Amino acid sequence: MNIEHDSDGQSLTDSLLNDSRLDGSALDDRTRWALRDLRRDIAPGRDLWPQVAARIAAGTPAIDAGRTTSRNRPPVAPLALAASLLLAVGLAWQFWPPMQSATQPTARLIQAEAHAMTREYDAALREVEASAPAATASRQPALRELDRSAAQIRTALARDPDARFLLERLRHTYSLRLALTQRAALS
Amino acid sequence: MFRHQLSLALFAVMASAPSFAATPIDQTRPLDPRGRIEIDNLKGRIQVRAWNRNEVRITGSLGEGVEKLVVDGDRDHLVVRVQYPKHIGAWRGDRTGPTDLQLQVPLQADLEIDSVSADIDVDGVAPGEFNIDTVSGNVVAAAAPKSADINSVSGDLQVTFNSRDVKVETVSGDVRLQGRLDGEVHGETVSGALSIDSRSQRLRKLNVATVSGDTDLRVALADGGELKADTVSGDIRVSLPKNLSAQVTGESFSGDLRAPGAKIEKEEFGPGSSFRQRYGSGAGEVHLETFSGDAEITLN
Repeated sequence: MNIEHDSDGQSLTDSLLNDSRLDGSALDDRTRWALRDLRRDIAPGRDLWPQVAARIAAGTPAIDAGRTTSRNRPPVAPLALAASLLLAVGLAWQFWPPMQSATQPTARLIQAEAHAMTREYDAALREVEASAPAATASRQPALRELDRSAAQIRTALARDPDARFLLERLRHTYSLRLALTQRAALS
Repeated sequence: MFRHQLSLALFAVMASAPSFAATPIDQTRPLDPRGRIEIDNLKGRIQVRAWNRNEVRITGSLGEGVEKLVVDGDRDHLVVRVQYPKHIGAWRGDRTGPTDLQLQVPLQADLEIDSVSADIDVDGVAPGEFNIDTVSGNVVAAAAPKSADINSVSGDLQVTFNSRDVKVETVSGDVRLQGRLDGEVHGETVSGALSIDSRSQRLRKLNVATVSGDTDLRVALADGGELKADTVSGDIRVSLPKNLSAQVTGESFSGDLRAPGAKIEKEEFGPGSSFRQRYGSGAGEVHLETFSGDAEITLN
C-alpha cells in the first residue's frame, strides 16, 4: 500500500496532529470521521457499515425492513466497499501519531478498534457466506489458514495491546478472508 | 426402423456433447507493442515468452471437456480465455482436463494473468504492468516489468524481477523474490516463507509482513530509504551491507532481538524488549517488529 501517496490521508494526518484538544473519547469520533473522509472517494454516499453489509447481502432478504436490495447484482462492488472500509481502518491507524508515554489510551483504542473490526468482519462474512455456496475443497485449506491466523493475531493483540502493527495484520487477514470467500461465490 | 431412430438419437447426443479430446490450439492476433493481454486459464499451464513481433501467437492444447478458447479484442487489448462449461463443480463434478496454453507476446506488452490451479511460467518479458492472480498455481517468472503485482493463495512464487515497483503476496505459498530491485518492494504472506534478495541494489522502500511465515531479506538500503518488517510469530532475518547508514529500531513482545552492537532493552515489568541503534550516519530507517518471533540484523 502506498500510504504516503494518499493525499486525502495526508490532510487528515495534519488536522489530527494539530488538534491539541484531543482526548480519549474525542479521538474515537475523529477516527470515525477520518474513516468516512478516507472512504469518500472510494464509496460516495455510503459511509456506514450496516448499509455496506446490507448491500453485500444483495440477492438475499434485506437485513433491515424497508431497505431494498438489488437481487441480481453480484456482490463485487459492495465487497470492494467492505474491503475498502477495512483498508480505511488500516490507513487511519497508519497515520496515527505514536504516543510516547500515554500507552494506556493507545492500548484501549487499539483494543476497541480490534473488537469493532472483528464485529464488522463477522457481519460481513455472514452476509457473504449466506449468498455464496460452500467453499470448494481447493479453497478450504486457505480459508482455515486465514481463520487460524486471525485467531492468532487476536490472541497476540490481547497480550500486547500496544502493538499497532498487529491491528494492521488483523485488518489485512480479514480482508483476504472476505475476498477469498467472495471469489468462491463468484466463480 | 428402430435402428434408424437409435442412430439418429446417438447422432443427436454426439452433436451436442462437448469435445472429449484435447484440442490443439494455433491462433495469432495482431497486438501493439505496448498493448495489453489478459490471459485466463483455470487449470493446466500458462506459458508466456517474448518475441519481436507485434503479434500474439497462442499455441498449446485445450483440455478435455473445455467449452472453447475465447480470443477477443483488438490491437490495444486482447483477451485470451479458456472457457469452461457452466456446470463445472456442480452435481456433474469436474470432468474437464487441464489446458496447456502457450503464448508468444510482444516484449513490452502489459500482462494480466489469471488462474485457479494452472501453473504460470513467464520468461523474458518487459511489460509496463505485470499482474498475476492465482489460487494454487505455482508461479515462475523472470522479467523486467515497470511494475509487478503477483498474488497467490497457496501457490509458490519464484520470481526474478529487475524492477522498481514490485508487490508479491500469498496466503500460504512461499515467496522467493530476487533481482535488481532498486525502488519499492512490498511483500506479504500469512504463513508462507518470504525471501527477498535485491542483488546488492539499494532499495528505496521495503515493506514486508507475515503472520507466521519466516522472513529472510538480503538487501541494501538507499540513503533515506526505509525498511519495515513485521511478523506475529515468524522469524525475521535481515542481511544488510557493512556500510549500512540507517537508524535501526526493533521491538518484540516475547521474541529475541539481535543487532550488531545494539543493547537490547527489556521492559521493567512484564515481557517486551526493544533496541535502537544507529549505523553510519543514520541516513535510512529500519524497523523490525514481532510479537513472539525472533528478529535479527546482520551486516555482511
